[in-house]
Amino acid sequence: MTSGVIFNYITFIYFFAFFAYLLMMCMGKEIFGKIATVITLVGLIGHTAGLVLRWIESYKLGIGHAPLSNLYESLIFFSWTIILLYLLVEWRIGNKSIGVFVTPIAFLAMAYSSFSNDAIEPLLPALQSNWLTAHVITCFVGYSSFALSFGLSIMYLLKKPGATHENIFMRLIPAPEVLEELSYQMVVIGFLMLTLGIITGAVWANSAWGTYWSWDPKETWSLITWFVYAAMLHSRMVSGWRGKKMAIFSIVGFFCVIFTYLGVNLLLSGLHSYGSA
Amino acid sequence: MKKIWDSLCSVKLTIFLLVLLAGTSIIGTIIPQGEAGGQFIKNLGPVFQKIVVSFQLQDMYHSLWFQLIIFILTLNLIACSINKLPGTFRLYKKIPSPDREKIYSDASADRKIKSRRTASETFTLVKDVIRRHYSRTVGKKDDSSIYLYADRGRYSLFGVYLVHFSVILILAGAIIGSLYGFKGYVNIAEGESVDSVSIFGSSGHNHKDLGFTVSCDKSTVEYYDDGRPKEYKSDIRISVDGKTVKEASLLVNHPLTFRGITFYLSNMGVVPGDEALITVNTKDGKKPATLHATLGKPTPLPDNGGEIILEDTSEDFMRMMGPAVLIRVKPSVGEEAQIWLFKYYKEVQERFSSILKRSPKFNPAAVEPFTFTLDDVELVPLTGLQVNKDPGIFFIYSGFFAIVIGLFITFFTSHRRVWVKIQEDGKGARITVAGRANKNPVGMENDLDRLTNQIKTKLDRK
Repeated sequence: MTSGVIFNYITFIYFFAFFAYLLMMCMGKEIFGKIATVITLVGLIGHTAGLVLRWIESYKLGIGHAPLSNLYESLIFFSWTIILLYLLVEWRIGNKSIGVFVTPIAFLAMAYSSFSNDAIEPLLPALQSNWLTAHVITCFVGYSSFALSFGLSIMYLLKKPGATHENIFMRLIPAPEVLEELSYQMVVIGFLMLTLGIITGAVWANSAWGTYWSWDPKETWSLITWFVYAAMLHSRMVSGWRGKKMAIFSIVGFFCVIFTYLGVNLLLSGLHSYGSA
Repeated sequence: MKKIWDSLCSVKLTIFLLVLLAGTSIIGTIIPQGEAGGQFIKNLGPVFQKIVVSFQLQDMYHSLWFQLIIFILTLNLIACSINKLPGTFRLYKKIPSPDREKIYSDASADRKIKSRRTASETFTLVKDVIRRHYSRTVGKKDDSSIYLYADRGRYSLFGVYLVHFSVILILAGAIIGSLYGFKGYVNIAEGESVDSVSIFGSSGHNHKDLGFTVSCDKSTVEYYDDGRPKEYKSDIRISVDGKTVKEASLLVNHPLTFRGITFYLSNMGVVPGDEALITVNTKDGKKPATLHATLGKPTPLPDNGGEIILEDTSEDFMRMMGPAVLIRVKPSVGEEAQIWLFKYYKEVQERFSSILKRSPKFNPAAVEPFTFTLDDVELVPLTGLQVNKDPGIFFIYSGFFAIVIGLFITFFTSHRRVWVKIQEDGKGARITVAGRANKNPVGMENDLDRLTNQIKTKLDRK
């Protein structure tokens, strides 16, 4: 499969992108930042082509379906949405320092995918539903937004408010207020998408099994994640919490996301078993 | 009383309950729930067993304490809404006074425009521009200035109430479903009919009459080339008083609803039919004979050697030994005996020889001079249906729809308010534009930039 080869290259491209962002941050030279953005953009274009190709390949095998059906495909899609979202943010705020904290997440997701089964496989009857696409896309756009908020929160904690930083790395990180606002916006998008992801999952489960909620570990963990971010949003919007507390909330939330996504399949059992192969 | 009410209204309680729900929910993802939970308890030491059982941790999401947390969260939600709604309504109805000094003195220099026209002319122009973007405008005049207040997106104040209302709607749907609905299952063999289903319940399994008949005409499983299931399909027919009223092919993800009861294709299996093919070898080396046996009916053995009766059939004996049948052999000479025959005798013999040795019932040559071989057992496809009635589903789906709309309004729309002051300045006028929004201050600033630019263009044009 050509798409598989492309994804192997993309993994390395994202690593180089991370490396270029790191060089920019350590040496303070703008040219490395420009190179990093170009590398990331090339990665995204190749990545998109790979996804389209894998889709076409599945049709050639006579089992056509969107490349969103198992762990391998979901990791690749997760990485793709992270990079897409990151580039949009970089373009919006014009600061490249976030790249150092976000490209490694995309790289790790791609690298992790190489350990799982990359065969294009036919869909089992329960997965043959239009809800599959809606469910996976909403969930992973949500997860990616939370990933960005996680990166921004780490940056926030590194950058001490008010302090003047001597080293270039710290100086290139945007002001804490900017980081916080952006992190919050990412959580808002993530929360809406997670809500949609849980809803599409519930509607789908109801049409497949007649139960919209069965307290399966995956469902429960997605709800736990939802509770954590709901608590975060309430503490900000009503109690007016800001800064460090929000950053810690976002980091805890992202650990819940990762546990929902990977931990549940590795450590617990349940309905989402097809996500673990 | 007031104290209780105040603590019920507090957002600290909300945050505490959300974190508590998140924390306690973890327990149920580690301890197996439901039937598996029952098994899990048996392997625990007495102390842990007592802890798990007294907190109902093997079925924690249905336990009283867990539902109590959800109940308190709901009360908290309702109390908060009741507490804040009147204030929101006041804010919604209130038209702030256009001549607020503070707001204008805070405005930055690039929000101040000079106009060569008179104050009242300028006012008309400014109002035109603002009217394009802001739905509601109010003007006011004093000795030296004209003021304009405008706002839009007042509805965004209610987004958060819609979200909270949706949560209540979803919980209400869940309660309605558990009170007035049921969940059950029924297995129908191909060609058979049923008119009742088994209900899952805490007090064991009960039967429920449907009031109509459900038949399975045909059930098929299609496979991909690699042997994985591709499609489960079951042709289902519903009839009332012997008359067919509905027919449909059920697939996974394509249920069928009749009179509020929904049938979901949940699993496919086989049940043994009542026919089997059995080969008989005799010791004298005669040609083997193949018998066609039917359940409960005697089948004669060759050469008047007696008869066999097919007494039982199994699609998978002891759930591991494959298709099998029980026959009673009545030889014309000697004692009769019961024998279990296996379709895959060789494999069974290799893997389960210790079990087979335990009883003469597993010896296919137990009755002299015959040796029996099971060639095949008739297997009938079986359709497993999940049968539900859930009158709460309408509320659940309405809640889903409303929560998405509510979240969108809450996070992506804002109540934007604009104040404009037009001060007489000699022959011309000085304009000051200011604004506030309850959310998204950056978006508000962009909005004000756009307004000032448009006002400038308009002033220059004419």
